Amino acid sequence: MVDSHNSPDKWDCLLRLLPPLTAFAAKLFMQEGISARDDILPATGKSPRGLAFDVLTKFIEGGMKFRPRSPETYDKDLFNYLATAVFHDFLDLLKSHQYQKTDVIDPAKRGDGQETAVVLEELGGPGAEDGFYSLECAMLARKLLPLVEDEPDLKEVLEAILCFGVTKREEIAEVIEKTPQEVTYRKNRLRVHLASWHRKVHASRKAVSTHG
Amino acid sequence: MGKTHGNDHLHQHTSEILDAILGPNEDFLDEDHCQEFLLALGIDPTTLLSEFKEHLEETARNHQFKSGGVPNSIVGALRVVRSRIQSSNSSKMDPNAHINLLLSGGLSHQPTGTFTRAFRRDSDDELCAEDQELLDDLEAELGGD
Repeated sequence: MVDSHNSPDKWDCLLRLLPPLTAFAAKLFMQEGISARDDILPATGKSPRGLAFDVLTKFIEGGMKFRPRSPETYDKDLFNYLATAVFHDFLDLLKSHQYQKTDVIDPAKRGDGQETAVVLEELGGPGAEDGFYSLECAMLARKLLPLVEDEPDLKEVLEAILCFGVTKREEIAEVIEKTPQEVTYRKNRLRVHLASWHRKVHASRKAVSTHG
Repeated sequence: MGKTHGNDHLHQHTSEILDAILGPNEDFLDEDHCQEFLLALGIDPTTLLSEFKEHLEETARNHQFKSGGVPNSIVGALRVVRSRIQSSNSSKMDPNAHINLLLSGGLSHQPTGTFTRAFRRDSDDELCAEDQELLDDLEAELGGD
C-alpha cells in the first residue's frame, strides 16, 4: 500500500495551496457581502481560514486520495478539487441553522413575501432604464461604483460589466477598447480594492459589536 | 419548513456578474496576487502555515478526547507541517505590509508565538528555550514524535 504521507511533493503542493484556498474562501465571504443587502455575512462562527483549514484537514484524514488529469496539472486540479469542497461547505454554512437563525431583514419584502411599494420605487431609480444591463447589475452598481469613484480605470471595467453585461475578459477589453491583459491587470486591482473595502466594513462591524 | 436564505433570489442572477468582477478563482494560484488579496483582507499569508498547525493540533486533541487516539494521517500531517515551519524563513515577510496590518488591527487573531518570536528578534527556526519547551510539552501531550 502506498503511504501518501511519504510523498513530499504532494505535501508541498497541498501546503502551497493554503493561501490560494484561504483566498478563495475569503472571496466567497466577500461575494456574499457584495450580493447581499448587508455588507457582511451575519455571524456564522466560521472564518475563511476555518473553512479552508477544515477542507484541508478532511482531505488529509481521507488519505489525500486525489487523481489529477495529468502530473503537470496537479496543482491546478487539486486547487479546483479542494475549492469545490470549500464552496460546498460554504453553501452548507449559509443554509445552516446557525445562519438561518440570524434573520436577514429584507426591506424589499413584507412579512407575507409581497414586494413593498416603497422599495420598488427605490429600485426604480438605478434600474435598467438608467443604462444598467439588468436590475441585479443596477443593484451591484449602487453598491460598487461609489467604492471606485476615485479609480477611473477600475470604474471603467465595472461599468463595462454592469452596463453591457459582458463577462468575458475579451468582451470587456473590446468594450473599454483596451487589451485583455490590461483587463486582467485592472480586475486584479479591482479585486484587491474590494477586498480592502470588505475588510474595513468587517472591522467596523466588529468594533460596533464589541463596543456597541 | 425551514426558512430560506433571504438573498437566494439574487445569488443565481448575480454570481456570473460577480465572477466577472472578481475574476476567476485560479488567479489565486498566482502567488503575488494571492498574497496581495489576502493582505488587503487583513489575512497575513505568512502565518497561515502556523495557524494551520494549530488547527491540526486542535483536531488531534478532539480525536484524542473522543476516541483516545490520534489518526496516523493527522500525526503525519503535524510532523510535516512542523518541519515546514521550522525550515521556513520569516524574514521573507514584507515588513511594511506586516506593520500596516499590525497597526490596523488586522493581525489581532495571529498566534501569540509569532509575536513572541518577533519581539525576541528570533527567526522561526531559532526558538528560545522557553518557547521550545512549550512546543515540546505540546508535542508530548499530543503524542507526536
